[in-house]
Amino acid sequence: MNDIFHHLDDGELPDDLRSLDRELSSIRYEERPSFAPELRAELARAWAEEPARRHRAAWRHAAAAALVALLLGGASVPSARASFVRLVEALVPAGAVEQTPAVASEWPSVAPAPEPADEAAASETPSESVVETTTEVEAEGPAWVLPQMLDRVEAEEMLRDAYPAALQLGGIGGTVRLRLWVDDEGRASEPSVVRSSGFDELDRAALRIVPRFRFVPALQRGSPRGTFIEFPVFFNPEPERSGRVLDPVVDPLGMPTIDRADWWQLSQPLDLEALSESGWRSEPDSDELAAAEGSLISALADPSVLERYGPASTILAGVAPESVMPTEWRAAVGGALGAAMEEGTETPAALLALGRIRVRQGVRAEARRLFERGLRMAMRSEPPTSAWVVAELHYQRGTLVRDNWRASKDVGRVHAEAFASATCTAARSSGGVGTGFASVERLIAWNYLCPGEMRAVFKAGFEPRQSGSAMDLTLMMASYRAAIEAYPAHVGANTDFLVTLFSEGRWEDVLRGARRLTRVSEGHPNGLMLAGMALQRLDRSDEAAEHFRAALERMDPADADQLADVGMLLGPDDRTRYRRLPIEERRAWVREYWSTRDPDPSTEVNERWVEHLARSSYAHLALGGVFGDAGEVWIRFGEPETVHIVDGGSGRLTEFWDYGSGPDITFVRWVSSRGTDLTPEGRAYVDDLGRSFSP
Amino acid sequence: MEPEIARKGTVQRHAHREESLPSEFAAWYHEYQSAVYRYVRFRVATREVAEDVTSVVFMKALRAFGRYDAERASPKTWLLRIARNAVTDHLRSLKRRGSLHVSLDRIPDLVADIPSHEERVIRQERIQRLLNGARRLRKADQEVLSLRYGAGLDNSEIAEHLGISNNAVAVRVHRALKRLKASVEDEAAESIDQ
Repeated sequence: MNDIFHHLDDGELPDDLRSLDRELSSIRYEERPSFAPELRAELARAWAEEPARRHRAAWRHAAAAALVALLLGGASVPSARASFVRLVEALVPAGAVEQTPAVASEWPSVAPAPEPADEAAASETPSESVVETTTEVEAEGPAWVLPQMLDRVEAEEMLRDAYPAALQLGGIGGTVRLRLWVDDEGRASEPSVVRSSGFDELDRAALRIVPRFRFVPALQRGSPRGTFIEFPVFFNPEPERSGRVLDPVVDPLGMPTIDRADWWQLSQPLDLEALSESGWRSEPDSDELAAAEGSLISALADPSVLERYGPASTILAGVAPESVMPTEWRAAVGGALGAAMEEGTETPAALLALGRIRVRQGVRAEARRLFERGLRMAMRSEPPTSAWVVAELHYQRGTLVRDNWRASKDVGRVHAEAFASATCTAARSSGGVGTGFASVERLIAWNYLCPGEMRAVFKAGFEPRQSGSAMDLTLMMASYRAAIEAYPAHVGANTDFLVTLFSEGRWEDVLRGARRLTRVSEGHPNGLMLAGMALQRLDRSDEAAEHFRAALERMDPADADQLADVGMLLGPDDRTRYRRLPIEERRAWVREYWSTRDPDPSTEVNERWVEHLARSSYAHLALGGVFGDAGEVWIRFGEPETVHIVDGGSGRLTEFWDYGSGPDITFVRWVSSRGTDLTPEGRAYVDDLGRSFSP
Repeated sequence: MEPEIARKGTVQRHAHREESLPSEFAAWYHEYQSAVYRYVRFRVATREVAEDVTSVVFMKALRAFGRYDAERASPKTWLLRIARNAVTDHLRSLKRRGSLHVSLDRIPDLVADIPSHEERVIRQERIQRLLNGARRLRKADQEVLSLRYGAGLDNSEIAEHLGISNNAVAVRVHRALKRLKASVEDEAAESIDQ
């Protein structure tokens, strides 16, 4: 690709410009691979239509020219307009031309009815043979003048506002072709869909809005006339093109729409006694799973794939059976599903399975495209796609976006000058100057050598990275919301959605959402834990305690033991003894431990135990488990006052957790992985802190 | 008129409609599509817009194909001239609607050969700064820079395109780079001030 630049003769440039020259020359422009062939096919189609065009009346050329001018002039969506050009040309019958010359009209293009044979009939029963054109010609013969939009900008704004945000965020758009009656006073009515966008919601949005458009009525020989007009309405999901900036329009942390329906119910406490004894509802339920498997099987042209690579449920989950080597299994099943796509037999469930396999193969961009394609397909497919598959597609897409979000949230760099005013000289020589930003190594060294000054350094020098973080958050939450709306009992989507709300301090919303999850899942422990976490933050420890108890009773005993574990709160000797005990004796230790540590014996509930459960629940749901490094620190010391994340390059992020006194606790996290581990210095410091527990 | 028997083969032809482009035009497309795209991409904010403008360029070229005069310009020069007009039209329409710039998180298609993800991100930011800087320059500077670094023309080709001498091209490139450097540095200084 860069070969073309070899002949650039930069000999005449002075040194300071030569590096700029080289930099500019090294830019590669990654074309979308399918763009060149698509455009070529487009050109060929245009050329194939060319001879026919030449035979048409001369005004048609003027029309094309006017459209090209429109394309280049006010166009915000040239490619969509390009297809509009074709549409216009295809729709104008040559015979109609002489009878219905028209005056200019801007988008949406509008058209007069052909001259009616009988005037009375025309005003009462408008002709069905609607003609569309967008052109500028002198009127001749029976003068029809098209209805004109009074305010096109206003109309476009109305359409933008009507675009359902969830669809736009979900990357779903389309073109609705509409018909509208414009009466002789310019009022619009009787909207109908001539050609659907394929998405009911988009069609409905367009239908809702267009009657509010205002027109100058059509004129026939100077007199106003009612007429039908037809025009396309474009919904383009890319904010860049649709002109809508998403952030101010939607609350990125808004609740799913299903919550609005039972708002009252969700403000009522859960009846914990009424939860069934038999455990929570499995997800997906058997009907949904059967539908999803059916959809997957129907995509596979070669049924022997199922025999060789395991049952449909395994393929759907994208996880290899234990008897096979996972990499080989993924290659084989991925190949079979890819073949289905090539043959055009893919289904949403097959795209879901293939996307999951691609995630594990590390091809995340492709995986995301597959999920999005699955969603588009699911919106259109007949019979309707299983609600769980739709939810799962949204959810998987959301988790990919979450990884992007986590890679940029709170991430930044520290200007080296921030150290200039520091009084601590111990770490002054610790490298990292030259780039203008402090190296991570220098920050870590400074943190542990001069702990008192770290806060000032971050305050003076931390520069958050410009990033798509807000957009990713919006998109991630919208994906989770869409998953929950599609399948309210989806545990993963609910959990990740609520955990994010929790870390943003939206306790009331977390409580409501957790209640809903608990109800629809008939008592899933995640719902109970999240409700407990929110209640604890809302200073309702007694209720929180009930929820945690219910959660511990209902979850797998091994998980419950982990959640209630107190080993990391003990000093080194006690901890060793505790860990060696059989499980029954360990449980007794836990009971004994809490009986002596109730900060307020006058209340029925032990607030410290509730806080411990709230912390371990968060560690379990959000930090990758209670026994991970981040989980351990969170459980022992609680939520840090502030977190700074410094980008060390090559996908390595270093987190500084500030607890208000002493050095920050430092972690390292890789963008591509979920785990957050203490740095060696962080581990040494945390071990030094011994038996601290500060609720 | 094609014989009847040949007409039955049209199914195949329809499946491969691109065959129906005039062969000379198809050859130009093959040879210069990429250069036109890169020229356009250098001057507009996003990949999508570059695609749209490139489509307009070739659509216009196809319509005007019969009027092309080989004595007046090489096909590449001719196409790049159409591209220049299309870009100008596009920018004019943008000016009516607002910003010419694009935020740094919208440019996934501009890269240099850099191994790590992190460096790639930093590099993309730098490239976007350069391109935003270029878009603040006067038109003639933008033109010469996009011909050189977008379309990849050498000085003599640029000279042909602009109808000036090789020497003049070298001078213009030099000045445009100098102003670009200043523009990017100014912007960096401003963003630190803020």
